[in-house]
Amino acid sequence: MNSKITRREVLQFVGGSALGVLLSPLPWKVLDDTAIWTQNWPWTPKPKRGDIAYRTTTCTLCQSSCGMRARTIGAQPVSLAGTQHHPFNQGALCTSGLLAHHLRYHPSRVKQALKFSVQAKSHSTLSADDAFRELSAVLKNSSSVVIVDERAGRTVSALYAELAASARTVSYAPVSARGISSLNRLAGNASLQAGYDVDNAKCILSFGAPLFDGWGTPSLAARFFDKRGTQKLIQIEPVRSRTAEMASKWIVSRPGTDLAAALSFAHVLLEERLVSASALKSITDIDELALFLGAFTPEVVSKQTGIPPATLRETARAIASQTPSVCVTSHAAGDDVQDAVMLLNILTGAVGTQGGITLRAEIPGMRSAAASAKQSVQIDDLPDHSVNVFILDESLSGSSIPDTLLQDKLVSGGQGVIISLSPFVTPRPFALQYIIPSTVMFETLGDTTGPFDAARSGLALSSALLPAPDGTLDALQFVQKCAETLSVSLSSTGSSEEILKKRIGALHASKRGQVFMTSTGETTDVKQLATADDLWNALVEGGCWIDEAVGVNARALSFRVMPSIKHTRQTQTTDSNTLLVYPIVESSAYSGKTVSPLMSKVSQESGLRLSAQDAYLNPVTAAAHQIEHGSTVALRTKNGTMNVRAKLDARTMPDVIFVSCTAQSCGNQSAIASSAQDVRLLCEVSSGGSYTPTPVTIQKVYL
Amino acid sequence: MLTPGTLRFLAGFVFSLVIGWFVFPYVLYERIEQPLQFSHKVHTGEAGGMSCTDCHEVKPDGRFTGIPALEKCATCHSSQVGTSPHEKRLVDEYVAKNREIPWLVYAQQPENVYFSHASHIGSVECANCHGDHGSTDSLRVYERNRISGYSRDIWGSSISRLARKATWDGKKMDDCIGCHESRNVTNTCLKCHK
Repeated sequence: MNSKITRREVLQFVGGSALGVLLSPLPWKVLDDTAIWTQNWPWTPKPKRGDIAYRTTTCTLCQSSCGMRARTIGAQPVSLAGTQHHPFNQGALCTSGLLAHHLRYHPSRVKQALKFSVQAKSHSTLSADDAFRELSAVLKNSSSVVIVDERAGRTVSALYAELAASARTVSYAPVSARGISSLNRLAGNASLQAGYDVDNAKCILSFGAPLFDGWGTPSLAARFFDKRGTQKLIQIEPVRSRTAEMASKWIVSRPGTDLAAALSFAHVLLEERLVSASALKSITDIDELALFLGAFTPEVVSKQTGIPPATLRETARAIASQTPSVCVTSHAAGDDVQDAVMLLNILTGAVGTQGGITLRAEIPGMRSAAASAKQSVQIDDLPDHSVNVFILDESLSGSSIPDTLLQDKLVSGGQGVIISLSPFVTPRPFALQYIIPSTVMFETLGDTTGPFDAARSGLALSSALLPAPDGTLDALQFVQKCAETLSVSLSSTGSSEEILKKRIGALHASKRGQVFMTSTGETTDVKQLATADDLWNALVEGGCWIDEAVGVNARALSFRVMPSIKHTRQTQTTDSNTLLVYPIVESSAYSGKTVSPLMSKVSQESGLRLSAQDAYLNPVTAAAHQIEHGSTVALRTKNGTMNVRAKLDARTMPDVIFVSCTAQSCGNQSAIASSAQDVRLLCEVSSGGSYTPTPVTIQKVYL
Repeated sequence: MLTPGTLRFLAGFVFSLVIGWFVFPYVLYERIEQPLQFSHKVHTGEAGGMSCTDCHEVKPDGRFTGIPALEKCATCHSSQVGTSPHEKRLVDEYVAKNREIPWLVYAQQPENVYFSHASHIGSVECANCHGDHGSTDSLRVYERNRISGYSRDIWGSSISRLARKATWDGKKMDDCIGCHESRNVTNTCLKCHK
């Protein structure tokens, strides 16, 4: 008998087996389980298991100071939500705030001091001692040091001002909410404090301010829609933004013409005698102003802005008749636009009025605002190339000051130095830069002032839920180190808690205002709290203090307008056939800030937010230049060339390329340092600090 | 009359079916004894008189405690109250040494699933998902999938999932979706995958 198995016989068995396997669960179950197995790699982060608890605290990413509730496993925050009934944010959080607990682990987090050479071609790490040893030499040999504080009003702000007062070579540059600083400028009073009472306004005229997209507190849109019918929003903007889409009326204007539009409204208000007698009386140079505004007739301005003369007149009448009204601008608007818009507020009587711009009293427990104001300077006012060292406090949420401005003010030839207190890599290739690693939110105790889009002053504390990494400093520790380096004695020294308790103690002693308590969800008068510790505990637990007092009487204010706006005659009419580039600068917690990688991944790549690597074109404009959606294009202006990705969007105006200056994308330190590009550098800036539409050529790049 | 070639084909076919339907499930699942035996029947029956939520409680803030911690057991079993050898082990090896019992959870959902007991209790019976677990006298062997690492209870007892015995037989996403659809409850992704 021949027992040899032939190849044919094997194939017959295998064929049957193959069919049998396919009709059994084996391959399908193995496929399913293997797919699950690939989702459970050992290195995949797993949510920590443990006791779940909730801690309430305050977000410090922007001035809105939203109350937030952190769900924690042990001490680790794993999710965030708004604190219900919180007076600042009414339970809402923006996307940056919702993901703020990711920032501690951001790939560009700095935990050791870094020194970047000019052009940021390379960087070296330093120990904290070595860094301050080098900084000591830098500061002592500098004749002009400017401390930039973009979150003025904090306890550390008072110490920065004190440091500037004690050190001959140091100046303090507080950067308040842009519109408010304009009020200071026109009133000639740097200590004046104010807020936009948008909730009580009947009519809001917004010059491109992203009211519902990061301009103020995140609940603003909900509050507006809650009052729809009784509140009107007129949005003047060249782009059909989210705010424009939701506004009561969207007026399309050509980019860079907000200034002309604002002056035209002022012209109509004066021409049609829509200005109250007291408002007229408060402007000391009203005759000169009236003469100046004579040139800004709606008919003339219409040619610049593209807004019909009748619409300009109707809008001016609306803000005069639907009172209280308030006019607001984007934070990115230059001083010229801010001043012109503040002029409208003065003319309509909005300053010092409920529903307009409310004047705030000074928060007790701080160095007097008047004393701080004496030491303060405005960055714009500094002579070009006069600053040796900028100290930037970027510890809370980065800086939104354009690099071009810093570059203009620093001494030339790459000799300027930037000392940045920052938790993230923020390269500035035009100067020698030291980055001192700072703590991020949830790692330190700190105070933050209330939102600027609220009638009254506020104050809140952000708690330390997690230990700060070794080698990082918070702003209060940093200012003490700087004072030590400059051999200056500060009035408050010690741990951050000790310094902050001193402030809260003074606030309690004033018996002023009310405190919102997260434990009860109710608001109590400060005078009902027996001890300062009670107030401290309420604030540490995520509550907030709200002032009851108002500031100076608006009738006592006088304004000198012409020095601020007279240069605006130089406003130019752009040729409608010229291709222009114009930056869209997002506000608040998004603007130029480092955000959670999840946000940069999901929000930006999905198109939900604008991306800093993209240029937005109207499809008609793109077709004329033979550019397809998604292609890489080179934008060339007289300021330089930059490669970006073209995105076609019918919502954009023809012949204008909009570039975004939004949150930084995720990346590791070296990647960010080497690829740093700011599309704003392509654009020209007016003498008032506004971006102006800049002629550009666009060319497809074949990679 | 079948030819030898057909017979060989059928032999291969039947061999694979046997492997796929009977040998494979046996090999796929690793059988692990629970660290300790436990009688739900004793606790929930007349002698114990307890309900499910006495041990598997929902806290006032809505959190479900899952399998109770040792502290819960120790409230009654700080010392031996019966004659069971398993209870003796509980007292000697865990309560006395303050060691948590490493229970193997039959219904453990994956990390990417958010399941709230609090929102189901009241509208869905415990037995709907857990069968007669509450009245069993001993704990059955835990079967762990060697590839995915999941409990067999997630897939269900039938390897093909063609013959599901009851609502509690399987806790895959399809099962959740089916139940939600039958009760007209939303099935959006973020409902369970936060």
